[in-house]
Amino acid sequence: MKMEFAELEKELEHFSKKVAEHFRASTKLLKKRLPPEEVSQWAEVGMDMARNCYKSWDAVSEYFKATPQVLDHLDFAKLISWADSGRKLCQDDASLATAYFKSSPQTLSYLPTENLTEWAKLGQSLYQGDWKSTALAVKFFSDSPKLIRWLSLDELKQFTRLVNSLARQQHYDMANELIDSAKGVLPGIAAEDRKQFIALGTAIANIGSKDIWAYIKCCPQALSQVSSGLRGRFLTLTEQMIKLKPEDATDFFADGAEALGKVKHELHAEVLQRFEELMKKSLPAAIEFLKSSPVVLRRINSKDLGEWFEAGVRILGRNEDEGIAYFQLKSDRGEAILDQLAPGADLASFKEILHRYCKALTGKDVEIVPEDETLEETISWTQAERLSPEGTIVYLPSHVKRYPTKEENFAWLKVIVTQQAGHLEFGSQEFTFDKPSQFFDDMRPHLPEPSKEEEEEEEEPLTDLERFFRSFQDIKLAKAIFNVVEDARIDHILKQEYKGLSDTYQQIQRDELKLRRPLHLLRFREALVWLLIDLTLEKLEDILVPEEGAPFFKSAAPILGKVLSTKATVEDSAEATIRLYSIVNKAPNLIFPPEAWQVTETATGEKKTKKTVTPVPEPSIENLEVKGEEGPSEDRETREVEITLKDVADGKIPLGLIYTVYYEPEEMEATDAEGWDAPPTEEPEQVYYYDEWDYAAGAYRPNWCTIKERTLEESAEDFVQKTNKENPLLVEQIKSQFQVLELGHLKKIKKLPDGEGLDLDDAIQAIVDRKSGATPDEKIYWRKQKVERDVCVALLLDMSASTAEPVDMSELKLGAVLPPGMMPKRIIDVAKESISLLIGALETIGDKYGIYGFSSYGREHINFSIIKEIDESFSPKVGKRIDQISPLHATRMGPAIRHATAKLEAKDAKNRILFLISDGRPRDLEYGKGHADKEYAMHDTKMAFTEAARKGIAPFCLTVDKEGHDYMRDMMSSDMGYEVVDDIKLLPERLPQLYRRLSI
Amino acid sequence: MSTEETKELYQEYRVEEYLPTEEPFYVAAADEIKIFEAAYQQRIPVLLKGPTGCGKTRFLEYMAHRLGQSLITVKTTPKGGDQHPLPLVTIACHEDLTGTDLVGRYLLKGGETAWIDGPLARAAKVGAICYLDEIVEARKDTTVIIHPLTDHRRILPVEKKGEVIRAHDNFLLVLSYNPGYQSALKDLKQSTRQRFIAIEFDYLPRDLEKKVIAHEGATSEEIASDLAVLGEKMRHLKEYGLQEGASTRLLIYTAKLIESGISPRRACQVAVVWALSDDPEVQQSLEETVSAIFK
Repeated sequence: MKMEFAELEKELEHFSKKVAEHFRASTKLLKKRLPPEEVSQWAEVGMDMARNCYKSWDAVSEYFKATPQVLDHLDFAKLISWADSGRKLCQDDASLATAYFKSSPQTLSYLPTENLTEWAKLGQSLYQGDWKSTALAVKFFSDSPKLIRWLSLDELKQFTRLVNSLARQQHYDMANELIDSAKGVLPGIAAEDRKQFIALGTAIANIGSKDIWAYIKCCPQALSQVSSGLRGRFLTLTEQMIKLKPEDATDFFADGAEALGKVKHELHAEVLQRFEELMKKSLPAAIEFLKSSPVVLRRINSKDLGEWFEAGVRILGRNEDEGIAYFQLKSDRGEAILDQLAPGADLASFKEILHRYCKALTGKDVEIVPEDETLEETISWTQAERLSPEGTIVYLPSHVKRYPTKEENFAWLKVIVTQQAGHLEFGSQEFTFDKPSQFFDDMRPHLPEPSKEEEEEEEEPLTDLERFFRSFQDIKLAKAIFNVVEDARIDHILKQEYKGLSDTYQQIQRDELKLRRPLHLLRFREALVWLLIDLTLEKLEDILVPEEGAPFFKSAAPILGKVLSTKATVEDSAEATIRLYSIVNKAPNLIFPPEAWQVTETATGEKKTKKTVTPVPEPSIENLEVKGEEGPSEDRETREVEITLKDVADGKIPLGLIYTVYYEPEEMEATDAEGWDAPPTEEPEQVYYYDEWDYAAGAYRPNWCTIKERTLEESAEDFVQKTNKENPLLVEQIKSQFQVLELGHLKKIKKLPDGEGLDLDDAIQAIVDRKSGATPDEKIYWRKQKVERDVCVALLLDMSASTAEPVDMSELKLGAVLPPGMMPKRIIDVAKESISLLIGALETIGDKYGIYGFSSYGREHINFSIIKEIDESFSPKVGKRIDQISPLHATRMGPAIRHATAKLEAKDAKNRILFLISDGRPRDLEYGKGHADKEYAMHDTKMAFTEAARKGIAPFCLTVDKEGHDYMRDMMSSDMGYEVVDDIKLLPERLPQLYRRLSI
Repeated sequence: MSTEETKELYQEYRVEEYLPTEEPFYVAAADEIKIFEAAYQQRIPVLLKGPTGCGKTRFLEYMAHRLGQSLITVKTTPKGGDQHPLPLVTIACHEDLTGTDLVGRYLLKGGETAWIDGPLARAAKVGAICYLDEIVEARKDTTVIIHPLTDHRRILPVEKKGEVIRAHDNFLLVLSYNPGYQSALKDLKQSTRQRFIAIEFDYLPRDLEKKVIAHEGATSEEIASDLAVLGEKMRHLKEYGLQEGASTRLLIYTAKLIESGISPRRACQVAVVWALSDDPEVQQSLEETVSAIFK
């Protein structure tokens, strides 16, 4: 026997030394566990592979190597069957067998032994004979332990089938990715959900390969967002989605999971349940609901979700569109309900109020801006530096939900704003280095100046405050102390000055301090600075301080106390900072364990002994002059350490206080925002948003349409000039018509006490009265008063593609436009001519006018072209712009009317007219349901006209569509004017006439 | 308008009727008293500028009284008795105020006509201080009538009678106007402006205003002081939603309401917040300020 093995080993050495080595090692082990005949049978299988399979030594090597470990799981019969499976694989491709053998020991820790053959077959099923499939099968085997750990045999079969189906469609990359994805996903989902994961994959694979790619890619990430217990349910929902609306399924999967990720995990079940509920009623609404849920739940309490949801369902029941808009958070009604339920205060809705409030308090224009992450945290009960360094901006959270009611949340905002405004109102920013303080012997003049060298490097002179801070070694600490002291001063003044707010103020201060990190986690120096804030709120005796730190704390108290006066100034804060700095800087910078924190004084108070009077235990400080000073603070026993200048001069003070350290100012750069306002190189395209009226929903869709405004470019030719040249007769005619208007009309005012002449009727009446003995009315004069024209008109020209239709040449009538050559004239050309002629008329009478054109391509792209702004004076430029007008896209009238209305509204004129010139009904992409929802478009247009009328603007619509009468009647209210010009060629003549009639 | 009504209108302007016998309460913000005295001594017409309710009219009442007192000491009262040595004739100007309204007109009495002097003519004759309040409200052609009275001529031509009234020695013309809220159209003509020296008024600083509110509103120091603070805050909002800040007059009204037992916040609401603005958002801003100051 031994000989036999030796021979085999020799033979194997021909293949590779490594094989022989593994063989030798394993044989040695196996001999201890198996009878010799079995060992040789085992060896024979390996030899067979080595002899008969191409390039199989790696596989054989792995076979030998794996056997001892595999044997832990298998009896001999199964071992041989395992080896046989490997041999079969090896016949297909040696690398398959290699991977198979290599992963076997690990796989067997999870795979029931009876399934071993099945597993091998599954791997084999992936093999198609080419290198891609080989690689896939190899990957399958290598990753098997990670898959089999989570999947049953059946599930594995399904999964393999899915992988295989991808492979068969030549999507090998996807198949590989799927295996990777599965490795990522499977550990995260419950056993019962795994089947779901695979089934969903299969279902998605059936709808299209592109989707499975997205699914595979996003799956691990997406599922990790969903609460672990609900992942299966979410997968089921996705599967249902595939059945209902396959094209949106993967989007739902990704977006839905993302949305859930933003919702607290404990609420996932409720959201999904409501989603399922809604799905039965309207799938789009359900999807919108899911997407909006994080926003909604951020605004309202979870207990109110039901109420909000039910309201939506009710609306949905009445009208699906409106319901969808509701769940999309794009309906006014929905917004109102949400607002009602929301306990939080939205900054957006209070911004203006707070802005004005701030202005009232300070007299300064302070902008209220939503905060972002860049807000610097500071030691303050407001937690962060909320006032910009220039004092022009207060940063506030965009949404406040700290308290259960909206009133309280608003009160929070108000207090914070008051606090920030207080800094402006009471001069925090007006620190002057040389100005004496009120309550301290000034030490500032004796602080050393920053060295000259430094100053030379500075481009800008230091602010006084900056200069002050630089006198300290630890600038950061000095700043922190100063901020706390200054806050304390301001808080104190505010509570005195604004008595109506003081209780709320104090309460909110306390609430905010509860949110800070526990002080026992901080190093004592930082904690000590925090404790100064507590001092302004609580009694000294009630504050917890570690015993070792208590002396420092107590000596700080009276210094801070001095600042708490309505007469104290920012200079006092600075002086207090100098003194507090020295105290804090001497305090031990340790982290005290929580149990060390205790109440500073026992209730008896008898222990207020020398121990506390000696505030600073360092020996070198004993030489300091200690003045007994009584601060306004309660604790009269505590004495303040006053460091005199003599000590400084004598060098007695090792305080680290008086050092000048070169220091690069951090804040300077932030404020230096040069280049920020650099004008963009392109002509700025203004963008405006307008609501759109949804007649079906009976509500506006907020900010639905995007108007892109730009001034039309100028061409080479002046169209107005050209038209005038071509139509001399018409020009003359129009001019004479309008000249009458230009004179303006005089109005005779009667019954005046004096005037230009006697009114005969009144005079006779007066005489009659006198004769009859009655008192005659002496107001018998009249006077003529000129009524000045005060008209402002916006001409709005439809530039949609339909205006490119030619005007029939054969019907040309006398007096109409002369055809300018052989080119067939288009509607737009006629409109352009008409406008050019009208310009002449308008210039004659001096009315203010603007000319605009519009065309649209869906709600996101409404081009609003400026040909002439109302304030712009007429020049050849205008003519050149008119020349540029060319037909394009569709007609979304509503937003264009609203925009023109906005322009007119800004103008101050007695008569304001909106004059729309169109060639047909409004029509645009998705202007309503589908492309041709005539009703929706008409209602929106009508509403836009109504809005204009409400704003005191007279709308007028002129259309050259012969069928115009049919819909104009519906589109314009009875009190609004419209005119259908049946013969387009008459337009140049009619337009000025119409205008004349309209504007008188 | 019938004659009876016209008569009543004139009765309101009867010069003899207005007799400030007690010294009006006035707190000077600066040297305006001294300036006005000097101007009066030289009979230089005065233009008082300032926002509404800041004390322009009160100042003039005070000055009329004060100067009147000094006139008593210098001259003896011509008739003795109740006649005030320096009456104050106030004319509120409005859009329809015509020259005739100021100078005088013929009235029909039965079959006869009778001439009635206008208030300006009467003031000029008796030697009063004639105070044209909110002069820019009057029509421009009206304001020209006062020109001859305001220079060295000191005369008032009465066109319809073909006469000229020479102004009494004590006569002085004073105009007031509020440069803030009137539109550019209603600005004073330069030819009018340059006949006057101008004294500018503004709301009093907090401490002085507190005194005024305490006195006029007969209220405590504390409430007066809070109201003065409120006034200051409201004035910050001028052009920020408010056309004008809260006037001292409004603050005094508020003080009076509080003294009558209305709670401070409510009194501020009706007398300040609602008086100043109709815009709900602006109102809320104001109320937040009120609730910050008052408990």
